[in-house]
Amino acid sequence: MNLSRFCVSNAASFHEDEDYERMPFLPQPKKPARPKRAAIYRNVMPPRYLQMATNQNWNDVWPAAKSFNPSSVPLPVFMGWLKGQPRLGKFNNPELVKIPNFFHLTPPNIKKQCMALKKFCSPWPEGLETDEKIEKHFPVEIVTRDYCHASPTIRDPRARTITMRFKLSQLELDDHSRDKIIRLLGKRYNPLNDLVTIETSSCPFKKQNIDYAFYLLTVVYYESWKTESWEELKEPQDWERFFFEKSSSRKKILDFLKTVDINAETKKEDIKEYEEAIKDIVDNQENDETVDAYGRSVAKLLFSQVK
Amino acid sequence: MLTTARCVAKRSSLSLLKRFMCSPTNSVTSSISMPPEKPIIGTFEPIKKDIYERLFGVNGFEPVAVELFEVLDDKSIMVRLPFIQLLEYIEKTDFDRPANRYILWGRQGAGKTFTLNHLAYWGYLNGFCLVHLASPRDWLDEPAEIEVSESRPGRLDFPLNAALALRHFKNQNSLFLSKSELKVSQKYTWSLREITEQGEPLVNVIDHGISRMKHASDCYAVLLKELKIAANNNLCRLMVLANDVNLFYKKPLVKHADGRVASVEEMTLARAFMKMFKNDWKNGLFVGATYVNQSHWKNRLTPYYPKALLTDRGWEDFDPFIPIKVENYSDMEADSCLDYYTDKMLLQRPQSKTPEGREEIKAINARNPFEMYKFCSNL
Amino acid sequence: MTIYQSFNFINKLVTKSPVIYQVRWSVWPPMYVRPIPRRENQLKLINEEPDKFKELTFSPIIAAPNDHNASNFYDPFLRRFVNVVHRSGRKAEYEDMIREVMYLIKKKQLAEWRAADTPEKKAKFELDPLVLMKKAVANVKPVVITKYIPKGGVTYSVPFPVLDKTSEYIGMKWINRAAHDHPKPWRAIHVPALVREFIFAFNGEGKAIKQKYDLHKLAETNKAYAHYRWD
Repeated sequence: MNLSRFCVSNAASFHEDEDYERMPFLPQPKKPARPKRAAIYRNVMPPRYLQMATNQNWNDVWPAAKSFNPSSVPLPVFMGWLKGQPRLGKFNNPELVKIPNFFHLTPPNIKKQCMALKKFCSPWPEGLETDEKIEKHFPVEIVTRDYCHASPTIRDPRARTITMRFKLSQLELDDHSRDKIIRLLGKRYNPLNDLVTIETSSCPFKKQNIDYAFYLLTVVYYESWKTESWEELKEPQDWERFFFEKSSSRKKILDFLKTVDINAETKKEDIKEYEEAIKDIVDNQENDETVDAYGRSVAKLLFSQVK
Repeated sequence: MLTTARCVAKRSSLSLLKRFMCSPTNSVTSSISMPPEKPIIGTFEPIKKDIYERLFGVNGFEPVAVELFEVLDDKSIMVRLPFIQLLEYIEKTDFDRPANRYILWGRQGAGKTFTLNHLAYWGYLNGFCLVHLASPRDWLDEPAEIEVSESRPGRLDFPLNAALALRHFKNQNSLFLSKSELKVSQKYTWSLREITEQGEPLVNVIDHGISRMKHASDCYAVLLKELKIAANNNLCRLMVLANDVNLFYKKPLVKHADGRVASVEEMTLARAFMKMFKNDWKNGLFVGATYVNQSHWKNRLTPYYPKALLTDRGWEDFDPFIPIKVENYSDMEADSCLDYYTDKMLLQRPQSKTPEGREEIKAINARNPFEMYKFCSNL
Repeated sequence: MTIYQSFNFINKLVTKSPVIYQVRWSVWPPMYVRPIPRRENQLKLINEEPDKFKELTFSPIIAAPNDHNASNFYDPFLRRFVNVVHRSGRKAEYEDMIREVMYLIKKKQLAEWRAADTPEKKAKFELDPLVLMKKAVANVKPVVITKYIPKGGVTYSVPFPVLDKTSEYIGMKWINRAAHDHPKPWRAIHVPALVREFIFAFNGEGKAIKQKYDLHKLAETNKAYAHYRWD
């Protein structure tokens, strides 16, 4: 036992005992700095797209679906916008990585895959080479939808909806029935491309909906050929468009020609011009040109001479 | 701008009587001067004062036009394209055919009524028998006096207006009536003691109507009927001029005694006149002018095209007809008009005589004849 | 420079104190410049002060008042007359009325001019309605007016000189008031009354002229009190 710890020692012998720990109050003298390791600069290779030829085979670069790789894609793609900053390029751009890309589906790639699949397919039917021929033989198009989920159920309520499409010109219609069917179809008919679209989802099963769509088509078609009894009460103001054959204008002009002893057969073109002029005024707009045309056609008839 | 003609027009029975009393009695004219060979578009054709009195003394021009003549101290109408077109049509008309019908249409103030009156003047000078209806509003909206017809139950008679119309006809055709001998084709019994026998001159019917206002409407209807028969028998060449023709196809304001609004078929005068719209008569022509009110901001967009104004019924009645467009002045016509106004001292301010001033007048009014007159009246 | 002095279009109430109090604001910010509706003034600016015009090329402009226009037929006299005569802010109606008045004046004068036989008689008629109206107002303008000055319990009508602009205003007001002396002041009656008054004033007769002569007479009789102006 070292009793010197418990004895009061005088100052001269204070520093001689080195059993005490030194408290680091005073700043330590600086140790010399450890020499830094030299920075290693590795030569980064330039991105691959700079060395791509323009006539390379793209399928070799991107044979299958994969995430966006900026150095492989030789396109100046920009995506995203930050305020006050220049356009965000393709490098270090997570947005481009997040979205799906279809670089593996360029036409040559698709063709290659189709050629590979061709030997497993039956040939395209003869006689259906063009779109018109397809329309002629298969006028009605049925669009069905199937849904797949990564879940225990295979059910999806949207799968029972079907869309039936066909062109109205494929149906045999006369003037009256065409007008009626268009009114019956309402918004389902698009006059710009003459397409009728019937979408059904009232029945629980897809097949039932298809049958229902065909039933609707049948009903609407046969209804349009019917003429109601009250349609006889239509007056000229109610006509859907101007019918010269039914109109009083035709009667009057023929009466006039008879009074004047001119054979109406000889004036067929003039009467046709007159018919066109009235049709223009009644169906379309009445403006300077149409009124002038009407005046000229009437003058021709009123002042016509026997040839 | 000036208040429109319709607001200022006095249609009270008092003024109507005044017009009736003050109109000149028929007098045979001295020589009629024939107009020049081919009228030039843009020139002003003056109407002699006595002829003006005869033709339009009773009825013819709207009060604004009458004031215009007063201010300018000269009764002239500008020769314009619609008038020339009508003359061309008349030239090649075969009068054995059913009467052609022409409808003058155009914007408000374009000059339809003036063209019609110009044609009346021309017809008068060229031996036509004129049937001129200047304002059907007197018959359809504000007749001076309404009476229930005695001859036909359920119809309405307008004695004063009918007498005025008969007087107007007599004035316009005084020369013609004195020359020709139009006879009545059947016996007409006005009352127990007043009968017009078959073969009497037509003038008797007119005089009877003027003197016995009670039968005036029937007399007018008879007059029109007889004229039609006469025209069909090649006894006279008829020119029917109807101003504001589309008012016949609008709902009238006339009411029966019990408050029901009358229809056009229930008014003797209107009904009789509408029979002239058909083309079952020959040896003449029918010219009608449409009326459209576009004077206010609210109705500035009303269509002025003939079919829209005539409505379906009118179109049925008139089809086939020849529509003649009356446009605003062309540049040349506008210049001519401004020269005329300067000549007649309507344009007084010195700025209106400078080229820039004239350009401004033409531009602001879009060369519409009526608007130009209104604008120049206070310069 | 204080913040108040930076606004250009405030009416400054100038009192004897050195501080300027703002009385009315302008709705227009200070960089907006006054419009120049008349073409001749525009051309004058372009030709005489091209630098200033260049400055104004891109400055925003205060909307011009509705009664200013660049028409060839614009006359400041007419504008002033409409301003003086109109009521209830119905300026457009009164403008129409004034134009009607001009037309009727012209119509009347033309009729009488045509009826006159000799050139001397013809010379009496002025056919241009605007010239006639200006001359009428010039005839009716007073040269001196009297104002009420109370002194020692008595109110004296003291003759005062009058600015041309004020006297024109007074002349226009008199003509309008003379025409106003009819049972109901609606347009159908007021218009012919104004026409009548204008033609009377042009010829040196009528109520408005009489008012002027009365005022001049009063000023003449009260000439002695003229020094009360400076009391």
